[in-house]
Amino acid sequence: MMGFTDGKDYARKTIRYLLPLLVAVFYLMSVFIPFFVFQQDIFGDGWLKVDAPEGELIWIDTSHWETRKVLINDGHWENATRQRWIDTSYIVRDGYYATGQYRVWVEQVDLEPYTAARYVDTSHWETRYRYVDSFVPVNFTVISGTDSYGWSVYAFAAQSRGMQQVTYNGANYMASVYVIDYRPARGGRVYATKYVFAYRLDKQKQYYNEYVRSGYWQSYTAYRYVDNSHWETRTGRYWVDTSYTVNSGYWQSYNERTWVDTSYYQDGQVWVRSGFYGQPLHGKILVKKDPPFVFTKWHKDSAGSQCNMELQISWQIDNSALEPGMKPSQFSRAYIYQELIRFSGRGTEKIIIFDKNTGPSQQGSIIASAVFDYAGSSESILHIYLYTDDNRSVHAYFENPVNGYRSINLDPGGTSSGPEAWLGGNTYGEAEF
Amino acid sequence: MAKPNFNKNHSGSVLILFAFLMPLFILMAGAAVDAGRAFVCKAEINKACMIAAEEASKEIDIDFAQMQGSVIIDTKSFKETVSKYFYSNILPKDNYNIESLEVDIMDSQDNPEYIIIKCRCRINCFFLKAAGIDSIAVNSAATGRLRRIK
Repeated sequence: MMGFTDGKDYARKTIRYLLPLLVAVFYLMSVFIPFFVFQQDIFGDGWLKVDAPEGELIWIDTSHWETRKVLINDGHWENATRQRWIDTSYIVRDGYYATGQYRVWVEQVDLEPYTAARYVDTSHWETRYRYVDSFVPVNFTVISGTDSYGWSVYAFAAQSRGMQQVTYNGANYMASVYVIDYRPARGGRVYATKYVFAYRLDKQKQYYNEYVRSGYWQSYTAYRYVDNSHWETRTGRYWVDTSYTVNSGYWQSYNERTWVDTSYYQDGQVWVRSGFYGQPLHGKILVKKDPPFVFTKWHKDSAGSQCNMELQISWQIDNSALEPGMKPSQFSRAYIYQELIRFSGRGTEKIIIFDKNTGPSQQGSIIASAVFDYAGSSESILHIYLYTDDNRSVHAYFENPVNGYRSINLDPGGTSSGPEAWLGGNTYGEAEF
Repeated sequence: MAKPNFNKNHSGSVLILFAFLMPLFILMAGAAVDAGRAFVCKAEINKACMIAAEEASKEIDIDFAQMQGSVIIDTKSFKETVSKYFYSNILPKDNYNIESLEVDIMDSQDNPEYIIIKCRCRINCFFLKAAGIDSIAVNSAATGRLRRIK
């Protein structure tokens, strides 16, 4: 009896402790088993980033080097001996006085009157007036042929004749005219007219200014200068100039330094700036990185090879929104490099991983490999540039730290800190541009 | 009763004293020499332990590290490296022999906080044999761990 009771207690205790354990194991397996069964790349959402172009149009730079004729400035100074004429001619002043007739040029300017005409403008402003029609609002009623009571009795038979011009007491009005022309059954005729005056037509004097053009031609006496210079024959003593020139001189040698220009044109490379606005590229880029945690080349893997990094970059350009007549965009070149930020402020290293033409393709992929000399922090960035033929580009980038390690001796007491954790971990990313 | 007649001449007594103390001096000098050799040996195996610890710390499974991002010791190459670097840095001599070379991983192979290398060496005495001490045991230990470059 006792043994049976002990057995029940034992079973109860077993269930009490075993059940939570089984529940915990089942939970852990349900969480972790999918990771082992469905192995996949570690996908870091937002790990791969792309500089998406903003706006409708982007500037596509087609600047290039061009072979052109370029002027090469060249030359030298040259010393030359030349001859120049030194003129030593001189004038011998001579003459004599003679008596007789001689001609003299007399310069004379006289002021002469003459009759001229001028226009006298008498244009002016004049104040004038004119009569204009005006409507003065009025409000009174005149009934003819009956009185107001009689009108009210036969008002049912009133007919409107519209707005009419009516003369009343010598003045013109605009009035609504109503007429009752009714023949009652008892005989006779009722005829009455009603005028509802609305406006009085008045003539009003309106003043205004008008510019009146007028004028006349007037004669007047004006003065002008007249050149009356002339030759005059005079009689008397005059100077006869017999001066003459003695021509003489000699040739003198002198040294002259002249610049001999030997400039010439030759073919040279000239950077020609050019470009145009085009549609931005759209599409998708996928990056696969192996291994997830990258190490420097100084560490060897199990095969004894240097640790490296393999990259597979795939792209697909979306040319669905292509305008008529435009060529589909294709990537023809890839440029991949790592900007490695070294630890302890040792600077930045640039490692070029891939810089080649890829063959134009809307959809394609490249495989690149890289080894790293130095460890780099988490701020190290791997840049991927994909270029089209017309120099449009897509820039994708992601953080790619590079691990390195060394070993140290510790104090005999050791350490309680855990082993190091490596930087990195992402292995797959995709982004749209 | 006649008084005993001892010789009053003391010449030669120093010689006798020296003859008695000479072996003691030689024994002390020999002990110092043997102890010095033991210290030299300890320094040498300590150096070898430190180098072995430093080198063995690097023996991680790099494939695992590249894929998983954590450290796990590659035990096969780990032990080989310890042995290789320890014995490469200690000169083989006739007058001592390595009795034991032990390696411990703290805390575990897949969570290696640090490693300890312990060595026990026995050095044969030369002078102390006269005092019945044939050898001296010398112990040394060194620790090492991996450090990520940062």
